[in-house]
Amino acid sequence: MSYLGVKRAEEINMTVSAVVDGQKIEWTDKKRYLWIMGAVIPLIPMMIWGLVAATEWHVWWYFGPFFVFVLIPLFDLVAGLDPNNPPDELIEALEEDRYYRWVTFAFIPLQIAGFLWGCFLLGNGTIFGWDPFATSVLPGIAENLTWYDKVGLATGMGMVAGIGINTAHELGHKKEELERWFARVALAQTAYGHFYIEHNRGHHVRVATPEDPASSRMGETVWEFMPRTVVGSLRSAWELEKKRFARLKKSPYSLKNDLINAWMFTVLLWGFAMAAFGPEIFPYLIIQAILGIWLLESVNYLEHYGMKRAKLESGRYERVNPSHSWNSNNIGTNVLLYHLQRHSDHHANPTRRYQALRDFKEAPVLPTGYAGMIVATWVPQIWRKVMDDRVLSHYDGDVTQANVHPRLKQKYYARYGATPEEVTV
Amino acid sequence: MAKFICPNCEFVYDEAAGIPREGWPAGTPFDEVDPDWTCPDCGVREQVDFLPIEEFVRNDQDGNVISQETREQALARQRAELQRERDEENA
Ligand SMILES: [Zn+2]
Repeated sequence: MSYLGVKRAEEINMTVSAVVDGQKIEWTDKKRYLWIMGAVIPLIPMMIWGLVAATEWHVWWYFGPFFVFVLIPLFDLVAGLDPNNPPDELIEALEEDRYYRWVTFAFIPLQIAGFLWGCFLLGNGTIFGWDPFATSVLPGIAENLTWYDKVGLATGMGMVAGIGINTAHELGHKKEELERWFARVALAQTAYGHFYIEHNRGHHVRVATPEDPASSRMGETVWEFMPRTVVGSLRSAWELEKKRFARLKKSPYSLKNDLINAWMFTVLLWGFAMAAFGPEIFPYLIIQAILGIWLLESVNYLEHYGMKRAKLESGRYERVNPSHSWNSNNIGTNVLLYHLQRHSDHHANPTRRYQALRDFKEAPVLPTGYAGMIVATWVPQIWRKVMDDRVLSHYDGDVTQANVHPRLKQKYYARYGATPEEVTV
Repeated sequence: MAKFICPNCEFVYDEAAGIPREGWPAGTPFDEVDPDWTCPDCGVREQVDFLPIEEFVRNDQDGNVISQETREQALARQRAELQRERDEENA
């Protein structure tokens, strides 16, 4: 920011300041220490075990989804909104404060630890055939887990896995190689290593266009969207790497292929877990991975629902701007998801660090945080009731500007009063 | 050899170095890079959007409206504090 004449930036505790044009600009980050809460999520498998050991209630094995879909939305309702923005002049100073990096780094070892702890419980408490808690079966628990206990635990691990993709998302956007490797580690649990390539080089390029598999269309249900985004994103990721290797005149079947080296982390992590805790944990690894992917893709579903960038005369799409993403300023989900819900700023400026993302006054806003909105996606009728009018008013009543599902185009155009010529298009 | 810069994230393409991992060996002139090649860091600007580095003034990351607003708030707060200090001295 030298163009503004910033001489020196310094941080004292929660306050960032810089001297701009002889004026000292100061800003206090009220969320500075709240960000640590994000690292509580990977501890869910430990929490589950603690709750079961303390009460012997089997229902606690299903604590993970309860935490994400009941406690977090309630937390949002109670904690309210956070419209605080760092001043533009301080964004660089804020991004350079390495404290914020350590907050995201802390997630990674905790995620691995939580995953291995979950696997240890799924494998009936033995590690490489050794049974450290022989007298009590599991530490603090007298009986082996039933299959439905294990399914419950796997759903909890899946919640962490999905939120782990969010951490990977924050890290994978950064310019530093170390953070990009950490992103691959965070994706290992879900076997979603290709996300880091597809999201940055595919989704960000085509976001809010009918060509993007990860941008949902007006009228499309989340259940229709799931296979389209999962398959489409994988195919697109492979195409991107294939194209790069074609330029290099090399075969894409190489460890240098960023998809393959990212997937290797899953081979290592899952391989180690099955060797240590028994191959019978495999079905539960699949369950938690599917749930993690479903959680992430649910977020994709609501981030750009119905949004469409206009096509320019040159044939390119208009640049991504703040009007192309759905946002939420609910402080609860925002703190747990590293400002993911300040999605407009993220798409306008993808390399910007989470602590510096701002709320754009003119950006479209969801009625509640992402966690609560996911619950609304489960029943498409409810989802459409909540969202379709919002999409329409975002486009000042002109449905032709929205990204409408081709299957429902006639119906939507007719319902929202597009002219007959437009309806037949 | 010339250098070109991404107007969003300030990634620099240096013709002398190329970007071998992207398939542009050292010495590849920028106009031989595919027009739809996306910036490897931000992904939201393409080859055609890059600027010769000499022409670059500042990045196009938006937020100036908000900045103006918060800046005025910050200044107002500082003025209020100053006023309070003066009042305390006088009292
Ligand atoms: Zn860039």
